[in-house]
Amino acid sequence: MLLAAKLYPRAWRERYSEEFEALLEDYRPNWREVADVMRGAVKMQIKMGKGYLTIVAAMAVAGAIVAGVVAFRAPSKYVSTAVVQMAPREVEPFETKFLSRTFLTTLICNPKLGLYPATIRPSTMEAAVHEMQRDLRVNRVEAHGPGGATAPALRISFSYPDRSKARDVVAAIAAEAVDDHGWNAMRQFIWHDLWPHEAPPAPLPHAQLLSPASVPGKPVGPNRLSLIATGIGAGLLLGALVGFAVRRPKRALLLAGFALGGAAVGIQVALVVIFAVPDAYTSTATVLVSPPIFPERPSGAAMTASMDARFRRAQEEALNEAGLAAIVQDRRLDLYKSERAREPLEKVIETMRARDLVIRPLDTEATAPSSVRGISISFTYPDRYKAKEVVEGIVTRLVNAHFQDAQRTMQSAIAGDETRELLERHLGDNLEVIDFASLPQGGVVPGSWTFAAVGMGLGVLAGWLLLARRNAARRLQAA
Amino acid sequence: MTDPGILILASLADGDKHGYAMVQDIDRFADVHLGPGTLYGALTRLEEQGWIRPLEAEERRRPYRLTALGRSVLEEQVGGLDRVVKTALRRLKHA
Repeated sequence: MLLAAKLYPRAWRERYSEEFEALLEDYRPNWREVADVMRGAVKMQIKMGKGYLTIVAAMAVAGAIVAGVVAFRAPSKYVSTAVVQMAPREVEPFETKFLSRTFLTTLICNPKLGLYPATIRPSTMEAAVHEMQRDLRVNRVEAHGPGGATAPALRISFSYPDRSKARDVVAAIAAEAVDDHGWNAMRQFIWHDLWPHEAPPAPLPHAQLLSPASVPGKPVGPNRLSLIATGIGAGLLLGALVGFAVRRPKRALLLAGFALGGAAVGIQVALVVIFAVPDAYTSTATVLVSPPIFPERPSGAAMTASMDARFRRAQEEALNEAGLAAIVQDRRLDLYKSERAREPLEKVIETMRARDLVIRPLDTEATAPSSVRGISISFTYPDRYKAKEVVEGIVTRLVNAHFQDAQRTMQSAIAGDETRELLERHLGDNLEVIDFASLPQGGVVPGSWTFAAVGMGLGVLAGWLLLARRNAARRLQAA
Repeated sequence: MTDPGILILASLADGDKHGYAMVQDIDRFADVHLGPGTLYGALTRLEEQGWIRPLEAEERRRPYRLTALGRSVLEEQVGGLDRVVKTALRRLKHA
């Protein structure tokens, strides 16, 4: 409080500082009283302080104090880190998976971890996922493996206010990368049952834990220096504005009027644009496919080849003209109504594929055997709910096509009842939807607040130009 | 009735007081807590208007006294308030 009392104007302090400081000693110090002293100091600076720099400096100090309070009250977090080495082609799919909404939702909902208790409610799960995406870092690094050779790896770091939870989360994520869910063992067992005279293939290469989840050391706080610097910057800016308003009240009033006028025009422009240009929302889903649990023939190479071929067939089936036509003509969705009234359906689907539907492979160099493939499916449409439903529809078709294809192949290739039953139970396990279709939040067209801010800026600029022109005319007249 | 100026004048009406004594007094009779910045902002204004005047400081704590002008301002303000309160009470009884 005594520090905040120094913000009062010098003239005022010369008269009151001794008794004021004696009064502050009688108060029980708390943030409410500090804020009251700071508010009083700013009011007194505006009332008494003729010096422009004094006001600016006072506001900067006030900004620094406020930012300091915020910075030191923000909770510190503990950071745990693990490094997992993996096949080059698995790096991107795993990186995508670990930051995906589905995977993070699984972690957040895990009662053993008990993460984000303040945020987590069914209606705010998306907020908890966003918070976790901020706290989780998944970075690609080059790591030295046991043999000394460098290999791609993922460094997983998680910061959280609870030390043991930070470590548990990193351990859970690393375990997900390393765990093969018993697939290799099951593969060996079935192999001997089906092809007893064929030598079993080598186990699939799997991720290795190079550095397990570390025990967090000292907690890491927010970047306090940067927060205080931001506070000083904001204080300087506000001080400059207040100082200008005190020194040139008429001019400040005029500029404020222009700013308000500009904002009003901006909002009107925004309304016109929003009605004239339909907004567009993009929904995205991500699908991963890993090698199937078991090859269809006693040949190791056929395994990845069949996986790729099946995934390609499933994509073709999900995205073929008939499939997209069914989605477009679905009564509930009723997509591209005006376009369909003008053009044939084939043309509408062609536009949909070329403009609104984006299928992006997670890794384009699909050459390495026995690794994970993935695609992201995005669809852009003026209605965000319909955009989400279309992506959901395509993902469902893709998953069904993939499952049915695998089922057909398995039934024709495997005769033994027990083995077939076992495989049927795991059919489709290798295809994972790691990000379900998202509900888009922000549209492509900027919102009315952006227009209002731009309008306000332009209004201030126009006001300033007008004042400059008027002053120049007056000077000319006086000369 | 939360104007710090009137509350301070009312507090000084029964005798001289320094800052924290005024805060405690106002807290008691009006159930209003004045922060240090608010109190001294109002004291500065009242002193400038000549409604209160500072006395000799006692151990760094300076008492203030209500001036004759301050007393008449307070009487005028309180008189106005009194009329409002009486009217409101009468109307509430008849309502």
